[in-house]
Amino acid sequence: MSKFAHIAVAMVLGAGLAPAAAFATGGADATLAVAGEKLYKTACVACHSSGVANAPKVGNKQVWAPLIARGMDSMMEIAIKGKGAMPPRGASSADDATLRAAVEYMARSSQ
Amino acid sequence: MAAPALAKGKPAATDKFLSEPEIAKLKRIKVDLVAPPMVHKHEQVVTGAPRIVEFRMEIVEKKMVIDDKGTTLQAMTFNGSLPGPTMVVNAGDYVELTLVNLASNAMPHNVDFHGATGALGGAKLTNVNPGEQVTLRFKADRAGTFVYHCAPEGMVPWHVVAGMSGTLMVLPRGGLKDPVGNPLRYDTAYTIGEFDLYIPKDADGKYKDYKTLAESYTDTMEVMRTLLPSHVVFNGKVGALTGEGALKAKVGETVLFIHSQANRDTRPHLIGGHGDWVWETGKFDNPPERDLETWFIRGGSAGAALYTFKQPGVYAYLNHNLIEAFEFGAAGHVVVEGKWNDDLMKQVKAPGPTTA
Repeated sequence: MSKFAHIAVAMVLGAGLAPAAAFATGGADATLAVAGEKLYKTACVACHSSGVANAPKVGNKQVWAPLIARGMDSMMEIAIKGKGAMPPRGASSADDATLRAAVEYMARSSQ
Repeated sequence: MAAPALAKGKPAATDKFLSEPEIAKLKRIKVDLVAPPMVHKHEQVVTGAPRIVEFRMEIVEKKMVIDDKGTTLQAMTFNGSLPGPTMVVNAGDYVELTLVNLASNAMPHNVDFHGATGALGGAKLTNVNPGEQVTLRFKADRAGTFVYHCAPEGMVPWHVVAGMSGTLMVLPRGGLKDPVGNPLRYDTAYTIGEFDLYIPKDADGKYKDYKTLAESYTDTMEVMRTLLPSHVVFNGKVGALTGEGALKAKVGETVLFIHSQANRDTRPHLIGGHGDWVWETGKFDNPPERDLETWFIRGGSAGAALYTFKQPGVYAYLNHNLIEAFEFGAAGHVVVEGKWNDDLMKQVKAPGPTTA
């Protein structure tokens, strides 16, 4: 699957098109967007797919709207420091950039 | 034929209920838990009023090595062991558990006692985030061996198969009895927790090692959905109850083997021995069965078997699906000292060349 994703990314870049991700800010972030989605599907999904311990469920527009409205910095602060049952970095070993991409993926999927 | 006396009568749960001031007057005792396979000191027969028995458990998330090849499990544990420690009280007593979720942990947890009544076994009243603790009290009004396990809404099976289960043993106040009411006593109790583990493999077929607990989640869930465990182990590791870890007994000693499996069926068997008296469904107010070769623990329960050793030697205690025992890990040893009994068994002629 990831092989195909890389091919897709290469084609997009080759064609000189900007990545379509609404939250992505830079052109080189397509690979990162893939890493973000992968991180979500590896770890974050444990709580955010079903809403464990009141985690904002991915896809639930209502609960995500106020979080998205507060902006990326606010969401990243929670992602890095943790909040309530949410552990720092979502209990992952991901770096800030990948974490940010995962948050972007979750927010994008919940709009 | 003698009727199974203990099968008669109303369920224990219909006993009268105490008010909060009455409960406040009950004697309190504090019990320090010990790591499996040992069971903390306890009385098999008690007299007098019920007590409040205080326990404390810490939830510990940690990476554990689960076989001799160095395969790791991102484990979740009660008190750092698989299974969690066995708690023993007497029927009518109150269990008062303080559950601590260490600040160093990543996940929320709780506890569901199969021996308790209401609020999803206590799970609803014990949700603790890392850095929090909670205290739950419940009346242990039914006798038997009961599983307890973590059950956080939305991620129950993962927490259970990652190690979060143990046994609560509620002994009848008058002690264990055979089907006609004769007392049954044991000299030693051992507790065995059997765990079906689901460790993911990489593209090369090697077991994966994860940096964090959360990162093991999705791959592990995929293996769980196949219903095919990668390992089936007693007490946290292939070979945990062999060699240095083997259980010990003497000829003439009566041992109670408590066996819990919170998720998946198993069929315990003592090679060279038997179950003298077995409560395979684990509830002591039912008459036990005798002389069993193999018994059966339903996934989601704990059972108990009594055996008085009659011969010395090394016994194997295992899950008698022999593939699960010898290939997947569900086997342990009991090393028994004492004098051999030629009447029970004798090698009449040692192996030698065939003769016409």
